[in-house]
Amino acid sequence: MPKSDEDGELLAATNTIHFTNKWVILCEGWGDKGFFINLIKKRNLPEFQIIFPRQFPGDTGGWTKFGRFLSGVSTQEDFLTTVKAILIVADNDSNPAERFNEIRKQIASAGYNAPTSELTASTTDNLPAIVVAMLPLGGVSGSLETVCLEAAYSKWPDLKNPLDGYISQAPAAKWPNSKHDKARIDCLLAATCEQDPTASLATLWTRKPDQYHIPTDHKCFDPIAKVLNDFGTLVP
Amino acid sequence: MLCSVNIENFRCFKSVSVNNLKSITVLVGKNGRGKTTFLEALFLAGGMSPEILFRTRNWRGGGGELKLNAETYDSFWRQNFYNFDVSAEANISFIDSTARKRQVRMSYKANEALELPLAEQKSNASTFSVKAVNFEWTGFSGKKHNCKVEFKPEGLKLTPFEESYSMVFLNPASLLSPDHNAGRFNELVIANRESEALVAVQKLFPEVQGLSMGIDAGSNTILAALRNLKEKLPITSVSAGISKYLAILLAIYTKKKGAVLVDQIEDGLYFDQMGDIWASLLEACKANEVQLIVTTHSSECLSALLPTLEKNSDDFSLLRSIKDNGECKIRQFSGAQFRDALSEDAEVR
Repeated sequence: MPKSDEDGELLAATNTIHFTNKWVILCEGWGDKGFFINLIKKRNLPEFQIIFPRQFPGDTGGWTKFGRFLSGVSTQEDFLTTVKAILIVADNDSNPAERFNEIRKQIASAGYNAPTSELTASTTDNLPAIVVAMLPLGGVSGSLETVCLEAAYSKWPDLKNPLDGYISQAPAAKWPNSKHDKARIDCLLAATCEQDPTASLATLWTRKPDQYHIPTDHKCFDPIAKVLNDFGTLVP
Repeated sequence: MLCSVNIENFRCFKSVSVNNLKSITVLVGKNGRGKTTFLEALFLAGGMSPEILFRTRNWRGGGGELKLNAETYDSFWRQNFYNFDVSAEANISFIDSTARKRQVRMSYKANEALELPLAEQKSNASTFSVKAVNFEWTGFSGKKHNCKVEFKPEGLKLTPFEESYSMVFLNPASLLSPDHNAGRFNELVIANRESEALVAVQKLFPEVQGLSMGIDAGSNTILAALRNLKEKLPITSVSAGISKYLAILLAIYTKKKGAVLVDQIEDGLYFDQMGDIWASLLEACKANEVQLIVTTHSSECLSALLPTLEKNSDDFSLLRSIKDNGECKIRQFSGAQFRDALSEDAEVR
């Protein structure tokens, strides 16, 4: 759970979302949401309303909830009349092709036509267009944390080997590789923030992200920023 | 069961089509989006006479009496056409599960004039001339019925269509009519089915020990025997909520294979009992093969539906009336989408 809530939404008493922007990013959780808010602000990118599935305030979301969430919000008048296109962002994890197909199934279960490939739009009568971006872009295994780690290592290059060693000796060594970067980034953030050693990727964005050394102007974020910047050319 | 509805050029709807209506259809949307109009359109198409438009005007608070002059006459009919455009006919139709179609067409007959008596003398003439309004119903049998709105010395003459669809419209103005409810209860008494109503009421309101026909202040009414009360009371005096719940049940029981339309279903019902009420209404609808089409603005009423919807999503559909580019439209959603919307805390109202 975030300890503070600068945008006032993460700890809201109700999960109900009111739609105000023609473009929406549907991501997996409030950590991803915080990342996109900061990326857009730092790079002066086009505005998106950023949302994620929640069953209750503070819920961690997750891609498995995309279908039901999308199906539910699609009944709202403000969604139907305001939203023109949705960018769904999910992690590749260990098997990018399989995960993309699972995201497509989630989209179809909500009554939408699913895109046949990444970064192309699918359209459905009377519903917004949908584009899917899988992270890291380019069809490699990993997650948003994988990309963030690259940016963090640019500030803390000496921490890479110790972190690799730590993970190799911890129970995490037996986890799927895709989860290692999530563990690495939270270890790095906690160990570099004297003010708040409980800092994690999920919580840092609601406070002072620069303090936590994930510079969103790092070149590793350029491909994601380009997708957002060019979104108008991807959708009808 | 009604499966699809098509509305053309009627009031706020330029063109609206909905399909896959289920046992219970819930219609939601902001004010001024056409929810009540949708129900009224169905009621008109299923009905027998243009008199329905006078009745619905009255229910909406428009007053029971229409003062007849050229202006009011024209205004009364013109407002039933989309954007007041009387050059095109208004057409409302529905198709049932056996592919039978019923429709009503309402049109101005430009080349036909009616001479009507003046209510307000503004000239020396005693009559004024207006365009004739014609209603043509087509029943499930294919039989057509033309009903021209005529004014005779004795008043409005409307020849009813003999083939109506089994349908009742309950709204805050009509729901608590003791006479209608007593009439429906009497139908059950005659059919020896009144215990069905009692059992259903007792499930939610166990204090009701018995229901019987009676007369209160000279009018037919339903009397309720209550636990710990020596004498029976008119059901309307027991509780407006119980009376409303019973009114909906009675409509369902007496409109077998028909439809019951309820505007603002939550009105007068305690939120904590709405879950049981939904479950009970679905059970009654399925047992009597009746379709329930309701509107609501209540978040509590909708949230209470979730447990029933989780188990029976195939029996529900959700309609949302919206205004898009200034035009009222209706978007439809499956029971599963309706369930998702409620479980995801979407703004369903």
